[in-house]
Amino acid sequence: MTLTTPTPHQNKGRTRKSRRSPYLTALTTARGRTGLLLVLLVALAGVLAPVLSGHAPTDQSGDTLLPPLSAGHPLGTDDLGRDLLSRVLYGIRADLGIIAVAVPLGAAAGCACALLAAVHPVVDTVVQRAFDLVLAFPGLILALAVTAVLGPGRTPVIVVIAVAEIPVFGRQLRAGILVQRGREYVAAARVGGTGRARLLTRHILPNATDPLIVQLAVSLTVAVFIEGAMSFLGVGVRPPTPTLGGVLSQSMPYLSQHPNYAAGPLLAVTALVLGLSLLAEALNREVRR
Amino acid sequence: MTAEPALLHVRDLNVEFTSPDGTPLRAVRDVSFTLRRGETLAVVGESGSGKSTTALALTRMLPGNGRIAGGEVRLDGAELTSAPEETLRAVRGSRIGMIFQDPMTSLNPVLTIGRQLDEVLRAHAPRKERGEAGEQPHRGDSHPRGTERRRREGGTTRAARRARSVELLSLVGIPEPERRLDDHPHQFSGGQRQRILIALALAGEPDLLVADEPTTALDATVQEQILDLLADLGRTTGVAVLLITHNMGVVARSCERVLVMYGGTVVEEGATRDVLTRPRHPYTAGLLAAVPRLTSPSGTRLTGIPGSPPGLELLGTAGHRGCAFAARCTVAQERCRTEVPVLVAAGAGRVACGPATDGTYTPVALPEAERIERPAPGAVVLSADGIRKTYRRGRRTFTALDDVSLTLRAGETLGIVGESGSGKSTLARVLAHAHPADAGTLRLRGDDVTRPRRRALHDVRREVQMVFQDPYASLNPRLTVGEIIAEPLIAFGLAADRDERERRVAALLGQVGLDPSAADRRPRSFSGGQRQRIGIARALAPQPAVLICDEPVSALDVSVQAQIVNLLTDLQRDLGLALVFIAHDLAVVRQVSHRIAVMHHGRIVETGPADALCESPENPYTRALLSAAPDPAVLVAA
Amino acid sequence: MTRYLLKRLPSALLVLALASFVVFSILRLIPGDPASSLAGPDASAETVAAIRARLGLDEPLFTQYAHWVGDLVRGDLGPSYAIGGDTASLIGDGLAATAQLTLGALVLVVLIGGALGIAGATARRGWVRGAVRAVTTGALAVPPYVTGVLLVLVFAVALGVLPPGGHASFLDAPDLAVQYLLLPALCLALPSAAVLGRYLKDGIEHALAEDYVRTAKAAGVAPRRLLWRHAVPNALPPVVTLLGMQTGHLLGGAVLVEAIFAWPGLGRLAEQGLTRRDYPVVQDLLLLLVAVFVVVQLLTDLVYAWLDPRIRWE
Repeated sequence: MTLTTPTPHQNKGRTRKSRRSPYLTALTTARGRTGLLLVLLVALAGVLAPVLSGHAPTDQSGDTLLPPLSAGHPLGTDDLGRDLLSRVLYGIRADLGIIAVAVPLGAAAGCACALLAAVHPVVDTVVQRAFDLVLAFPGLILALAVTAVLGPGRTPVIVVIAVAEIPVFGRQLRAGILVQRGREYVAAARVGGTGRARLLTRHILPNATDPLIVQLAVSLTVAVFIEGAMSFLGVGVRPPTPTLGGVLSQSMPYLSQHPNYAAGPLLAVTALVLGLSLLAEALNREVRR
Repeated sequence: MTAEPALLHVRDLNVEFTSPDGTPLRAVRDVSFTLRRGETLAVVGESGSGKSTTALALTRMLPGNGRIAGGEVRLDGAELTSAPEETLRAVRGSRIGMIFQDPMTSLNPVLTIGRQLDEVLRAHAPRKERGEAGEQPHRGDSHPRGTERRRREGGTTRAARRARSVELLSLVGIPEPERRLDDHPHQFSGGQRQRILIALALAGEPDLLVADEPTTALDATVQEQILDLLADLGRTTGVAVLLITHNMGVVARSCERVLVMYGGTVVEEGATRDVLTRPRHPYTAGLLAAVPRLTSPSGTRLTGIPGSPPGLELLGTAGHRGCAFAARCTVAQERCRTEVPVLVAAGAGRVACGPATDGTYTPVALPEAERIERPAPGAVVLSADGIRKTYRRGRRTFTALDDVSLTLRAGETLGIVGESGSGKSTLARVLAHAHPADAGTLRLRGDDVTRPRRRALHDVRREVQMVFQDPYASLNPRLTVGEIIAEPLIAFGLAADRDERERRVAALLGQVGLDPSAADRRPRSFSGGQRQRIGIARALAPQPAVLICDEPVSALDVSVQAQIVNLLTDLQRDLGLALVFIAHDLAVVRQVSHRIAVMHHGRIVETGPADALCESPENPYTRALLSAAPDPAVLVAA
Repeated sequence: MTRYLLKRLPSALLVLALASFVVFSILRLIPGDPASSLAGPDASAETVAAIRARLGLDEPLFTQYAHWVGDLVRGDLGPSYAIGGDTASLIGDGLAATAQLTLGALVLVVLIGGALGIAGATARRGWVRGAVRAVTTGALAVPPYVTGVLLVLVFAVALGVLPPGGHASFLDAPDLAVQYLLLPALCLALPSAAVLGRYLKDGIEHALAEDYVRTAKAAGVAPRRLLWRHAVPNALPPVVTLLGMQTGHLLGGAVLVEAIFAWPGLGRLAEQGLTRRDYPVVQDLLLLLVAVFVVVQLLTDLVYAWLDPRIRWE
């Protein structure tokens, strides 16, 4: 070897930064931090609901529609005299329980479909048409139909959210796999003897998952809305169990006379959705770099 | 004031970019030069030299994170760096026209060519009063009277603008301009698109045409046509040209004066003939020596410059001391690392190098090419017979390979040259079994391996490895360099355990001239040349007999290209590899190859020993390729 | 262009065929029997059996499916089971109302989303960009059913300028119809408009950073024309695809908005039909919604091809 060893291209400031995962970097931006804080606050309130509230969410007292800061009822009571604070807190808890199951379920099913589609072009066509089919049913009509079959409750809400998310994640991952498959480093790995399964798991998937992480945050916000809309239409979780959407829709008739009734659940919904959107935006910016 | 005043006067221009983490990075520092009316000035330099940034700064076209940090740009005496945006808009197009590098992305894909020309002509329709009255005579002289009159009428009506568009297209040599006006960019070839870009730049009848690497994305034969066109335009319209390029051949071919840039500063300036024959700066000398010559015979070593061009980060404002080139300079002295050299007059030109100015460094003449000791080729390893490959795109089929046959011996380099679309990359992929052939036979040591079963394919792949063109796209960004190189070791079961794998990776890194510590870092912290070394290490991992190199140096700077080419020839000598070396640059191919095959439209049109083929080509296409390759030495001598 | 359409048609028809099967199956999965609910709780087994025979529910499922599809192809939707009246006219009335709502919303989506996108991408002042961000984030962070009620409170209760709910036909009283339409359409449009605006903003910013815009700028083209002639046409094709998908969301969202504003559309019909197991109404209605979505997707592809010459020439 007659060659001199070239000096490595050191750019110290950036090397250290680039080695860290883009997700972590996203969480350190102002947007990411605010989003994370909001989501954590809401989630914590939900998790600690039994500790934070002095009443059971379904206990009815004689005092209906109490204003905020009443004795024993910091947010007041609702039209049936139930403590609003505990209804909101338990509502958060119920919502978290729904979206934390439904969205990952839909995401996993969608990704499984996309992986199947990657196996053979015929499967790909089948999976694609199936996605088209699900997308073609307007979401809330689907919700009505599913509830008609399963009866109202928590399960149909989870099913509706999960089914609606399947094509969303499936299409994203399929597109990602197609893009990465065409990349030269994949051809290089194939020539280097890497087998099909390892090609997919070690090379293609790790590079195709970034948009999915962003989508996860977006889908969680959509799920909060679907739950709310189903409660509003009367096909959601059965009363008197509180959910954010349920409490909010019960408060709607009293909005002009007792706006405080709606304030609590609305604040919780908005904080949760805003936090998740900010997280999604922060992740998206970092991932697209 | 006896001499004609300069058209463009740039003094102490500084440009800064804000990096994502907020620190300013200085891309251009203290650049000064002048350009006279009708003159052609070349700005030459490698990636990161600041040449394109300088061009963009002239009309304040810098992207959002860039700004002019100091200095002045005077056009006919009028200062541009601090002028209001309105003034600059009047300057853009009508005083200074620009042509950009990539004709594929520089035209709007959804608008017809006619619309794009119309937009520009409309922008210049109400002629603005520009400059002082004193300049009028020059302008009058430089434009034929007919053009002048047409220009005044040109902007008024849509029909007039259309007529002018037709005129512009025919001026740049687009056939059937009337009909082609209604076509979209994707219906034109790369060369035609570059012509259209020139037409767009000429639409406002500028006094100065800034051409930023106008031929880099084009094939040699098309490149020649575009350079001829620019030269013709310079003669007929009297427009001054600032030609930015990394190609010394282009400089020699078409420019009177040349400005050499390195690391954001001007290192040398002078008449083209002087600079190219008697470079004063060690960088210029190194760059010239690194340019492969068509006259250099097969089996000689290329001369490179060690290391790689500095990135912006290294040149950041803080901590930058001394000469930017000092780290790579073979004659650097102690003061070069501490004192920033000043550009001073030297002979008829200027040079920024302490040792060159005070005479402690005198550049040597071009060194004689060093011959490589290499053993004679052995037995045939790989052979292809009647290979055919067609692609279907919708209803059309496209024949990429048409009856291609070749043989390759152990320890032999077969060079394959051709222009874009000639099928050479497809051939590489078919040979490496990345794509299957449609017809024909591939033999590896006599065994038919055209359509191997999975098990056999695995064995074939172990023997035939590939080095890819794009050192950025061919490495998985998620894996560390060690993991990338270890992939084939795992796939072929070549290392018993983790320890042995790490040892092998370290050895491979050493073999390609990288430090073993590179294994822990990801590809993005390496320069282009270093990444190409990583790609070579990966290809060597399964100890192949054949290495297919698909344009391994096309994406690299000239000074780095030599390092990679020499590495490949050294590896061949040491390991007895059979190499297929694909490139579009005949000069490089001649130097590294035993034999050359010329590809055109999916066929091999001529094949033969490297020297014989270059000295007495038989096929007219080979002759065209040879004559289109701009060789600085030949052109300056002529 | 026709060939392009023909290429898309088979998969669209396939989706429609699959949808008919799914719709039919879902309804048969709903627990309970339409015949017994029609006959009432006290009816004898014979009466129920007679009703079942009259409705053809005693036949094998496959025959029922074949009958339904056969009737559909002939354009015969038949009478409804429970709601009363002709299925065709029930769905026709609902469709007219829902179409009014979604088309009204679509217009608002384009207007509001377009304005947000262009303002967000081009505004130089920080506060304009901030306001655009606030509006797009806000429209997506507040659930539409809350937006709806808030709109009613502000415009109907507090200001009293618009009616809080109800519906008027465009043919009879156009001015009244617009008044009734405005609030529900706005409520339906806001989230989609925010998404569209964000997409358009990103698209324009992306296009403005492209080489061809640099080319035009260097040739002296004015900023306004750079935006409208170069950047916007390039940002449009993906936005059109998004708009196609959002039309599906609008159809879905219409169910909710119809409930808030007492709008007599397909959503309410679907709700009624499902609770009363009115097979014909629900089957035809669901299939119609799917068909609308499929047609919108086809149109989207056509518009995309028209906007992007590269696709057209493939």
